[in-house]
Amino acid sequence: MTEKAEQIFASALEIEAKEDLKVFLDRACQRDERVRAEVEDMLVLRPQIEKMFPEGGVVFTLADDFVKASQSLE
Amino acid sequence: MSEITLVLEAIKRGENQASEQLLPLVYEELRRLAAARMAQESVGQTLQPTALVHEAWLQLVGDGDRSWQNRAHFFGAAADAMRRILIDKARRKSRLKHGGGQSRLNIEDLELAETTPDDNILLINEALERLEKEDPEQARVVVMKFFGGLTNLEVAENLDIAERTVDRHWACAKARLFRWIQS
Repeated sequence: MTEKAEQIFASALEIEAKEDLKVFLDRACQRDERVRAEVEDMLVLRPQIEKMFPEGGVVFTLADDFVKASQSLE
Repeated sequence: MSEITLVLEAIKRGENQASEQLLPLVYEELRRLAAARMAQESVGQTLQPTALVHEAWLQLVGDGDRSWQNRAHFFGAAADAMRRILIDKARRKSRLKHGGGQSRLNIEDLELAETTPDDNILLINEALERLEKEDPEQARVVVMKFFGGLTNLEVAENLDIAERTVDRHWACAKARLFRWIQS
């Protein structure tokens, strides 16, 4: 992904309404269809991306076992 | 100044007892993270938490380099340790799945086979090594967030960049890694 596409993609993630997103992409990509296609591809794939990289990361799932471990040390 | 930072400074000064004080503080921090995580718990992502954190801790206190500057720095180091541990375990699991190491099978391996979240960890790590060459700052964000579970604020403190920059790096890095893994 080009740097330009990355910047547009990151900004696009903050836009919720479809209409607003279209307006934003029209303006940000201008007539660069390649960049636009890259950004749109990434937006479509976003659910799969989020599934692969869960918020909080893999280690965040340690949950209450930390508490048990710390209690066992006391 | 946070309590962890004070203890880290004591460790840096060579006060050996400070290492013992740090562990419960780290657990307390992890407990806070855990509570936040439990609010959005997803199925099938459970690891071997106790073993993982103990191993991470041992790596950290056993490491000769104890020059952590502050709490954020410590958790950056913790993320590196977590990454090493998770990759080692994922590799072992992969070998088991492919029939290797059967003569050395033990309880820990069996638990690992059941609880490791997915084989994507190895693929992600491979792609991450490429990202480390192409964009080291983005790669550090991934290590700290994905392997260390740090918040954007913690990553921002660690890298001395804006939280918004962390957010952008994280979003773009995930997209890049995903595309590399898919291709």
